[in-house]
Amino acid sequence: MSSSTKFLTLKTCDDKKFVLDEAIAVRSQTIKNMVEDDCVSNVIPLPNVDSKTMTKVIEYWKKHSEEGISKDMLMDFDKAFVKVHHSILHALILAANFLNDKEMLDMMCQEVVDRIKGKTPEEIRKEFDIKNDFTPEEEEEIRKENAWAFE
Amino acid sequence: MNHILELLPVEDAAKTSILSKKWRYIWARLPNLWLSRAFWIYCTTQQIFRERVNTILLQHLGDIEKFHLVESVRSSSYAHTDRWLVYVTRKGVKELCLYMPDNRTYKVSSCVLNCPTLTHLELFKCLFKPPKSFVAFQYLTNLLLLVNLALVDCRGTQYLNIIVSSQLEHLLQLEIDKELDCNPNPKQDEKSTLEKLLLSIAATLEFLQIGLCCLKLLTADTISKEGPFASLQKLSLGIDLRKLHQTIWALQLIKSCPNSSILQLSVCASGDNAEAVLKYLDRPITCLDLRLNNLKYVAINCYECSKTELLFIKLLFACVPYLVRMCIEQKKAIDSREESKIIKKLMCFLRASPSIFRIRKLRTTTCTSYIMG
Repeated sequence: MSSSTKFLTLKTCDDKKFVLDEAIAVRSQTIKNMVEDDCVSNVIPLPNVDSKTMTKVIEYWKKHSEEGISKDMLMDFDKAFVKVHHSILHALILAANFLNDKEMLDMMCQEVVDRIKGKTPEEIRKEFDIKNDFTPEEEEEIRKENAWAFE
Repeated sequence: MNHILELLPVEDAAKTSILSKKWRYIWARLPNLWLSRAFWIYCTTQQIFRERVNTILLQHLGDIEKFHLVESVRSSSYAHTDRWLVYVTRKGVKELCLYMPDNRTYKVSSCVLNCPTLTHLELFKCLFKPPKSFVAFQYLTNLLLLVNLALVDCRGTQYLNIIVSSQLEHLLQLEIDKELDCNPNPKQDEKSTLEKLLLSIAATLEFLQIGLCCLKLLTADTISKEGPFASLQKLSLGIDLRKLHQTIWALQLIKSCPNSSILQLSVCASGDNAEAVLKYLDRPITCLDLRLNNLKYVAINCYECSKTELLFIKLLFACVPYLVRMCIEQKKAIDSREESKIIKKLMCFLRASPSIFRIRKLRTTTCTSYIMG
């Protein structure tokens, strides 16, 4: 362990500040690059992330940085972590993408994949609140176009 | 978004086009098409498979950057495959992977070898019959961008010729392997082409994988003592430890990669009848008189941890001072007595090395691994 724990201050788009151990914050490749390039003066602005999402991200980072945590415990945590409304999932994916945390991004994307896989279009629309703006005729045409996928 | 759709099975991804107007063309614009084995299984007959690939390609919008195709059934004609390849090579494809059902029937279309945008090419079980030499000359400039090339179970010696003459300056990864029952008496020209190929790309290559049958073609004098593979990071070899010349050559190759940090070996040496090899390996000073200071990870796949194999391992231990981890996988099922014998022997080797190691045993359904590190 390093003798001096460094802390970073992150500022989200709604002007909330988060003070975080540097060792944890560098899970984000974006922040890591800033730290390595010495671009960190005092506060790191995160213009694309709001405080609600950042709280979730930090919860995830802290859990995954805990010492002596077992694989099973982490898996249970991850399972519960992704069971959120699709709007939060969406915000988390955007945040993970901006912060460039591949592990987290992959996990969130996989969750979306699992929610789409094997479902009918109606079920997917319901799951993600997608409004069907096709006329029945248009829909029929697209269905024909990809008839093989709907068999 | 693209990332998510690519993770989905193709048929699920295609279905998303019906969700709403916003979703209408997202799937059709996906730059990467993975028509994998799962997709093939989803199509019940060859006829349906072809129709579906046709539909997918005809609907596609924009460039195709990556194209993976698995053909699982042998067919009398691959005209359809050629048509698809012509299509994707004109759509700016950068990464192309082609898995064919057997290596006698599909001749690689010239549009692939001629594709100017290609950086990554993997061909499994393809046949090479290049056109006349003067036409082949025209490929020289076209495949210059190729970074990653894998040729597994391909037939036709001339394919190596194409590579040699194309001066692949950017080639960083090369993987060649053949089926075990390939030509038992390799022709002289096959041998010299492979040697030429290796020497021509030796200086820049970062990853090299050579299968058993290809290694057979080479001899120790091919590689000079200066260590021509200066950039190589990872070396993967298939060796037959029953053959003296192959053992010598493999050691020579390992020696000539002074900067490599990862070494993977697939060893076949059942039985202990390799007297000549044993005798040779027993004089470590003569066969590997070098410290491999950069080598950190070694993985060895072997069948039964025979005497020859263990001697080879001992030899490696002696010349790898900065080893971090060595993993030995053993395929043949053995009883606990034999197992403890092997562990005991490994312990002896460990004592000879400067670092302190622990041995962990890991047993799976197919093999037993000994991990030292």
